[in-house]
Amino acid sequence: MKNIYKILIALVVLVSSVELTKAQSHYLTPWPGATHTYNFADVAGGNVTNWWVATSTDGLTKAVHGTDYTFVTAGYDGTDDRLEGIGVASVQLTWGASVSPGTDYYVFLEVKDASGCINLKAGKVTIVNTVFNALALDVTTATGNAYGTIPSGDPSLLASTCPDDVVSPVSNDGGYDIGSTQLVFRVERENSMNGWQFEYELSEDADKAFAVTNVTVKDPADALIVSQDNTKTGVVTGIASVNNYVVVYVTVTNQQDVVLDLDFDLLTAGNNTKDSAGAIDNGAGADDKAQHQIKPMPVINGFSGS
Amino acid sequence: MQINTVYKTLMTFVIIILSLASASGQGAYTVVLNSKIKYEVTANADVQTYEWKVYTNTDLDLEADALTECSLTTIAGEPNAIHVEWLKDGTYYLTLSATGLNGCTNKKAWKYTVVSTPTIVFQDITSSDCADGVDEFAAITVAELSAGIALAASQYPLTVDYQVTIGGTTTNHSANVAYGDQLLKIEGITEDISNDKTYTIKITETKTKFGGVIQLGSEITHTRTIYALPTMSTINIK
Repeated sequence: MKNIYKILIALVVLVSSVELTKAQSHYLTPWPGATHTYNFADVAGGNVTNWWVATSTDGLTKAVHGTDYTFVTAGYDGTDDRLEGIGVASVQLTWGASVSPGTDYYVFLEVKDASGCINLKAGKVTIVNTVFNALALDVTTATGNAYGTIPSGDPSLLASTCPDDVVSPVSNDGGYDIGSTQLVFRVERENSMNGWQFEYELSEDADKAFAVTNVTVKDPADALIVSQDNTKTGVVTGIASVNNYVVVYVTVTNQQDVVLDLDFDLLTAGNNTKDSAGAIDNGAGADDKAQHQIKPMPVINGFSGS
Repeated sequence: MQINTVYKTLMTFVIIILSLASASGQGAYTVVLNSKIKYEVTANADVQTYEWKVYTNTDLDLEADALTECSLTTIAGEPNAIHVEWLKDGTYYLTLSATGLNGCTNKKAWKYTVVSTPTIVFQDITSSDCADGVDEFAAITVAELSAGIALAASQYPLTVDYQVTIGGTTTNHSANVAYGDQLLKIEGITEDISNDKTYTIKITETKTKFGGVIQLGSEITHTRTIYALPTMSTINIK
């Protein structure tokens, strides 16, 4: 008996492997689709360890592996419906994307020592609602990979910039091209670990005329998600669950002597800004809008020779 | 046969259209060598600095040589204007970068072709008149950009220097030629009702409105003969 008690299993200790910035998924209150690590301290190295997740407090009614949860750590045995190993004190698992908020699960660890004595302990886990949120940021004056590391409201980001250079200034040989200016916005998601999508619209504060020749969306690794020509609105779908943000490159045709106060808005009315579990953007409003001003390019006209 | 006729007619139209296009192609962007032209854009109070340059390539990164190709002279009080003297045949890009008080820059460029091909000749190399008490005479000139293409109206008036020679005596004169009538008014001719006189008129130099040099063609000498009036006996009336 003493041996049994010697095989003490301490309480669950922390651990969270996700990297969201706000209202994170917690290992005891995870979001659907979240991945967390669960461990118990003081598990003797040579003992047999068996892990599983149950829906009942006695551990007898097991949750469905592959649907309710999936072990990331290797060692799952389908026959016994548990992760089996020696001295495995820590496991990582991913909660199902469709598990219902409010549902309780129990992460069980059974430890058996060389004498055949068994201890059993579990941690209660409650799935919580994600309250998916999407937000837009102007990162036009950030550079390169910094698009992904700039926090919201970074004062180093300029809210207004000059137009980019004229591309082909020769105005009397048919090839004149006033050029275009690239604006860069970052769209982030919060409170969800699922795949997601968003709908956007570009507009000008005073309804001034402007032309958008291209909108390109890339993931944090600079891989293309979608490229759309000559449109000011669009729905960007299929953003992988691993991406907490995407970068949106907007190409706006230059104009002479025009101030453009451009808005990049995430739209919620059509329910197209949501995660793959169907959670709609909470529509908080202010964080769905990013703005950038293109300053006026000075006029050159009235050219003559005498 | 009818189809052939149609084709011929169409071809004729095409040729005419191409000719017109070619003729109009010189426009204001063809410059006669040695022209010195003031270029300007509308002054803009929002602009802080104007930067004029002339490049020799479409990438606008090879500047024309100031001594041999193109000389730029700024104009005091008019930063929105520049004097350009075109010194060598070729294609150039006059470029203006204007930077506003807000720090933003605009750029425009204009392609120019500098040519030394224009020529001037007399339309006719001889003419004659009777001594009729009117000394005035004007000869029609023909100025061409190149063979068969008239020099553009924007190059006029031309300043034509010429010499009038008679009996070993030469005098120098100068006159303007307007685009409309192409007439070179000749001075230095004096009628003589008693003797035939033959004047030789020779163009020595021609410049465009901008100082561009017009080459002298093969027929720059015009012979003007003034015939004496026939002799008559004195009429006696009784």
